[in-house]
Amino acid sequence: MTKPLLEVVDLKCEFHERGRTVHALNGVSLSIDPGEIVGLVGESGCGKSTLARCIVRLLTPTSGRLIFAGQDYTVWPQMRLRGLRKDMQIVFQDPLTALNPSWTARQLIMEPLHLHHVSDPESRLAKVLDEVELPASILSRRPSQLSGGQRQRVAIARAIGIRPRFVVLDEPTASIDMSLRTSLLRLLRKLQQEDGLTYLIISHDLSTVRHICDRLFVMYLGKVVEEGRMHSIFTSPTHVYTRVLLSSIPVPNPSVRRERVPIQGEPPSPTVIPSGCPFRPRCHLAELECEQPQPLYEVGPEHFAACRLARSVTLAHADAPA
Amino acid sequence: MTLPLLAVEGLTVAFEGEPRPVLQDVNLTVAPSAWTGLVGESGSGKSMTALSVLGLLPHGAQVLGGHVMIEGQDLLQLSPDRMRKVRGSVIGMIFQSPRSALNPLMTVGDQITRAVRHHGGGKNPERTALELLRRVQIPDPELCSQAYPHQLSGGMCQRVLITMMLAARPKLLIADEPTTGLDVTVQAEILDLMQSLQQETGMAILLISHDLGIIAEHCERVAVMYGGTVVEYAPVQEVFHRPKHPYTAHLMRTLVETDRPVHPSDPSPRLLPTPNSTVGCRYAGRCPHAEVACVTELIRLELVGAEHSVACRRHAELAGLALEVKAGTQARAALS
Repeated sequence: MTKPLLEVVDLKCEFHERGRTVHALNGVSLSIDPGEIVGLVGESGCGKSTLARCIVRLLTPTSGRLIFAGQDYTVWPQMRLRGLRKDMQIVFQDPLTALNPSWTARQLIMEPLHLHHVSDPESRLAKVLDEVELPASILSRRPSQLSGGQRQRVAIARAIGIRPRFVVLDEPTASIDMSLRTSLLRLLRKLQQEDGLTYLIISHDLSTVRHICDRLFVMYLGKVVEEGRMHSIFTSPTHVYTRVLLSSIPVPNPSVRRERVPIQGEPPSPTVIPSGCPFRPRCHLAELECEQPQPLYEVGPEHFAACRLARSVTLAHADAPA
Repeated sequence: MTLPLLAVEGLTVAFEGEPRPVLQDVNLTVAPSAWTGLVGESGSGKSMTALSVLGLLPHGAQVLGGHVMIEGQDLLQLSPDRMRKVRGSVIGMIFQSPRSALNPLMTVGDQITRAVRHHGGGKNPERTALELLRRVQIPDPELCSQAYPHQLSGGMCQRVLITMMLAARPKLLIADEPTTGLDVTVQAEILDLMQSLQQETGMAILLISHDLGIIAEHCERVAVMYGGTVVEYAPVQEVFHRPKHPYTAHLMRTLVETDRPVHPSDPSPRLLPTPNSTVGCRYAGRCPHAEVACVTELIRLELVGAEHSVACRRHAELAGLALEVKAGTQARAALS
């Protein structure tokens, strides 16, 4: 078995504002193997971006452990983190706000190359431009003079120029057109195959992650409620929340009428975390036992779900003759 | 066929100093009490069409020709004052990024009350506002009406915009990407709400979206836009299952193609500039079936079936396009 590249163990992150405590992450655990493309989905406010920021240590978690290539960097000071960031990069959600508006594309892509002392930065620049399929003619332009897709490519070029091993992408396709989405995903896949890059792709849009990721984590209210191989989750979603999510995707075929799994009430507030299953107040199948903490039950090979219904699936598996 | 509620005829709009019009001969009708979809990639002129209908074109854009007919009057001929009366009461609009469409310094309740009062909302506009909030299924209307937009979620803000639109009881609602950026679960709820309000009030909805899933589920008729013009307009089943324009066929094929794992060796889509002239097909630069005449002849949207219009001079020869889409699906199904 390969050793995981990144391990996140029981991560908690709290914010205090105006006397209230926002529990953004409530014990998230996940591990990512080298060369994997892993997706993380969940509704807005579920803690996806907080997790991304904790992983690259732009935030320091309240408790829990972060381990990259065997090293625990949970509480490393800033100076020491700089060495780590050579291997771990993040691409932010909105490239227009993430890129310095007064810098040219050349300055933007060159900055990390200088910071991390890349030898022969000019030839690396040319190589990276080629990889993200940007013409050299854009180098003198500033972010406002680039199209949405070009801006996103500049942001990706900044991240991959120093040849990291692991890249976190926060909503990589939120700001670009459908037709560009496919070409961006294809680029990510190409870089993974050629350079063995490992990705964590965070999105609220299931169709983005569906065809690029090998594995998927579903988050709800600061917790992972289901994880597994992409195919396994899409063919047999187990947690009620995952089923709600999948059944909410509109089907682009007017002859198909989909059956929607109902959801109750409004998105929850992360200041008050319900006991047991976090989805319980909105679940139409909730019962008394859902008030107890639900562990991740194994519902299939490498497929886990934290739902009481998953337990019956597990039992059914155990009962079946081998 | 019933008389359309809205008819856009030959609408041409250009920016000053730009050689190519942003909208070129746009033809579109919206039937009363029905959902009509408007699809196309960004820059195809979807939002520009909506803004022309509302008389809200950005600075520098000029209408060069055409008509926007609603209830027997041409909106393009109305004075700004008369047009202001049309907006809201005849045509309502909801936008993408609802939070930015609301005033951040006013409570939601005050903003709705204002809209109610503006549209002559009876003796007690505050109470009407609360009733409207209840109608869009906001759980605690009293609490919500005291909130500022930044205190509400994106889905709630969109409900507030829908409330303000309802206050004016329009006959036509233009919804420009109303759920883009919202979570899928919230998106489904907002669309359900629009569906039930549509049935309740009998208003017509013009839904602008790039999401073919939403279009397929809700719309009865669909107009496909490309490069500033409508290239195909037909009932939803026709557009999805029997497309006649090469661009529509391409769109439907990408649907099939995006429904399989991304492969790095897939060819990039050809992105060629559309010709600068006003004649010729805008899609000719990317069309695999283009001929010289496609660039030199004037190409207009023509009725080719019972309710099916297409702007392609080779549509009859290319009748097999739909078959291609199907064959592709079957081939892929066989492969996987």
